[in-house]
Amino acid sequence: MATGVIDRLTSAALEELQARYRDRWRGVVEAKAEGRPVVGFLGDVPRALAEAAGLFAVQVTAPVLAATPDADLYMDDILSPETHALFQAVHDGAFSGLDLLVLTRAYDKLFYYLKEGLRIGLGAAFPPLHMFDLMQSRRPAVETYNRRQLDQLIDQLQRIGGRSISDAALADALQRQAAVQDLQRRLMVQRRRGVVSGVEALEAIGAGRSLDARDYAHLLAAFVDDLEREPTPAGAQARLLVASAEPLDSPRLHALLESAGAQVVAEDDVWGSRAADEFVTDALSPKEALFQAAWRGAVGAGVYPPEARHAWFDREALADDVDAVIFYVPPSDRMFGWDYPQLKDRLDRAGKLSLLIRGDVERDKTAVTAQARTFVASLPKRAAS
Amino acid sequence: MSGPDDARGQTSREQHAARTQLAVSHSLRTYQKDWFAKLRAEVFDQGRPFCIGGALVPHEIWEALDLPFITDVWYSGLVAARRQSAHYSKMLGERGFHDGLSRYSALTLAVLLDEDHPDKPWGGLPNPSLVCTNVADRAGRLIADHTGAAYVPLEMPVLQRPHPEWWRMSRWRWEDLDGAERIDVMLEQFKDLVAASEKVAGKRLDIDRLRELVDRVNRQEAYFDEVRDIIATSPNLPARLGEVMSQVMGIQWHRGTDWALDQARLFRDEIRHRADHQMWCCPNEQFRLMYVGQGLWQNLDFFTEFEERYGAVFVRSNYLSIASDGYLRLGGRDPLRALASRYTTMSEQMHIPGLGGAWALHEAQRHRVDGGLSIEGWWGNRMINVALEEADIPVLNFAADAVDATNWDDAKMRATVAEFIEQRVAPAKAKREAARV
Repeated sequence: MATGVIDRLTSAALEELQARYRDRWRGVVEAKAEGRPVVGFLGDVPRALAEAAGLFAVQVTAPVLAATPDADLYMDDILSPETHALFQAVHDGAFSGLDLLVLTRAYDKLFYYLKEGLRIGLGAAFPPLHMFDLMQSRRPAVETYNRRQLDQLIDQLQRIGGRSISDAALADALQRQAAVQDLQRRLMVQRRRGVVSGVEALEAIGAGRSLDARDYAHLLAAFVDDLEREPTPAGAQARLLVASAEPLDSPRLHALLESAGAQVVAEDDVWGSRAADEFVTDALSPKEALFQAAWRGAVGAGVYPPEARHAWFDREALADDVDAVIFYVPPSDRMFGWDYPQLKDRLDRAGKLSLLIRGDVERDKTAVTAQARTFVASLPKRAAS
Repeated sequence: MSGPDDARGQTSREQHAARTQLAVSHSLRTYQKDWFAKLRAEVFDQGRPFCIGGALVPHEIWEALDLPFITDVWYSGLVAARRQSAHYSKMLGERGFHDGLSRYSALTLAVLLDEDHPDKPWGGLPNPSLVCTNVADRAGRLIADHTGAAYVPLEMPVLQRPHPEWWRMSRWRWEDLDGAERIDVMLEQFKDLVAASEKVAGKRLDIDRLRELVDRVNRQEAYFDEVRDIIATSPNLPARLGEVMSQVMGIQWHRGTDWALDQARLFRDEIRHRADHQMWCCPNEQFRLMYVGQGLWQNLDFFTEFEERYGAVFVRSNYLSIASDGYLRLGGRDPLRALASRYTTMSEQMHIPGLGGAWALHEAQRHRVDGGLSIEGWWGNRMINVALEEADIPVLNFAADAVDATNWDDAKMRATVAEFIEQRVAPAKAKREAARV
């Protein structure tokens, strides 16, 4: 898949991270076996809260290309394949082992369908649901509402965990999270140095969403240590940044781009580079720090104003060591496309190359592969370092 | 500039004029043209600030501040009615906005972006001073960016405790229906809108005037409620749906004004007169159909031909029914809070699973509907269709864009509707009547 030094890299820690990334449910099974309650998250929910409540948290994702007959019966085609797949998975009992499934407002449509599914008797295998409706516009007008949303989430997690979330437990969890993010930032440095492929980086970061924070920190530290021992490769791959309309919860797009001969060095997504975003706050309590980070540090299509939504992109995409930007906007997109012309215009004015992929990386794989190969081949050759 | 498209547009306008049955349709059009010409003159010539708002925005605030405004979907509808949606949709595509993005409100943006077009609907739009839309409606922010206007976004809270029969609570029990927390967060955002609007208007909002306006809107919606009742209970349809929809939305976009209240009363009077005097749209009425979801604004006359051929009439759309079930908020002392309640779930209640289906079925039964026509483009339609089909009301999933005529195939669409009436609506009605015997 990848080329150069990346091919030669062997790391037991990476292998374990990859295994955990690919088998995201393993941690759930282990936690259940230990009698530990399990909560699933759809969207960006503060993991530190779950940890402080003694819960095992897993990020829930949609099965790719699975048939969705029951979802298709009720859900319109305008809703994304991800939404159909998630409804089908919940309907089929894929998440029945969860003690609670928390959905964010990015999944409001799915929430409505699941609520109705419960009402009309389809919910035999549904886990209990909770909507964490944290509005992502950074305006004082929504602050009180958002605080109430966080309080309600805390109440639910405490109830499931059977214990209250103390300041000390939350402070510990936040500290561990900060340490993990520090490791992720070190990983980002190694990506830019070219010693780890985009696929591997995505897997290493994403594994943190289905692992206990302590275990994850341990594995990630070992992996980053391995990377930092590697010499800088002499490879000359084109370096890409990905901006996607869909959550990058699988490495499919990265694999396709890297098989075309490029390296993905960053992505504007919490499954990748944005997981390491540092949010600095002078909040006096751990809960307040967590609230500020969840609200004002949020990442995603719902963030307002657009300047906040695009700040990371504007900085990273124009970096000298990024050769080109890939905009992945599959047919299901109803939102990102409004931002695309402005983002592309900024790149054009800076002389930065970009590619718009409108096909679905799985459903239109042949065409997308050809498009990626042609584009990567057209990029100016990077001088070997 | 003239050409084949203009000739077709002219023919279409002539046909539309010939089919117009309601006197209020003429007075509405005259008023709107005069109003818009006056607005343009005041903004262009006198530099008066004006606002652009989304459909889910409390325009009453602007009305109370004497700020002229237009609604983006109204202007998009105007573009569609002039058969210019294909041009502007293509133009958006050329600017990089892919065709999967909704054009429902974005045609207003397109007209503003297309600065050199010589034939804009009603002369085109002046640049606004303030834009307010739902935060997810990105075209609104783009309009503000393009014109240098201030922008106020609105975010609707997720509905966590749905009441399937919401329309029974919305008029008086709205605090229970919408929930205090959700109303509060809308209220806080409306305060931001008030502050931004006061800045543009150069004066403070008079809350007593706003209260009067909200009361007037409630009276206007009550007239619409009567219109719905007449249409639902009359033996046959007294007014064509295209005219009813245009009338309702034409008035809604001016709600709170004396003109809107008067026009709503005249509308009610004319519908009542037609029903009392058995002035039916289609004397040979056989089948009663309803719109599910959006209306076909790009071709409102399309369904009229099915009157002659099959005795099929369209009796019901969301637009009239939501006017009373969604807009009315009675019994409150704080007009801003009443407005906040209205917009916590406005529009979404028509298609949230469970809520949309229950309402559509209730409406279908009330209007004695034989079949439904579901225009694609809204999430939630399929579940509404399931609810109707389970009650033996067949539904046609109509693959057409509400405002964008780019891919419209007239012959194919006619054949599709004809087949639906013959193969599904007629047998279902016969079965229902046989069961009654």
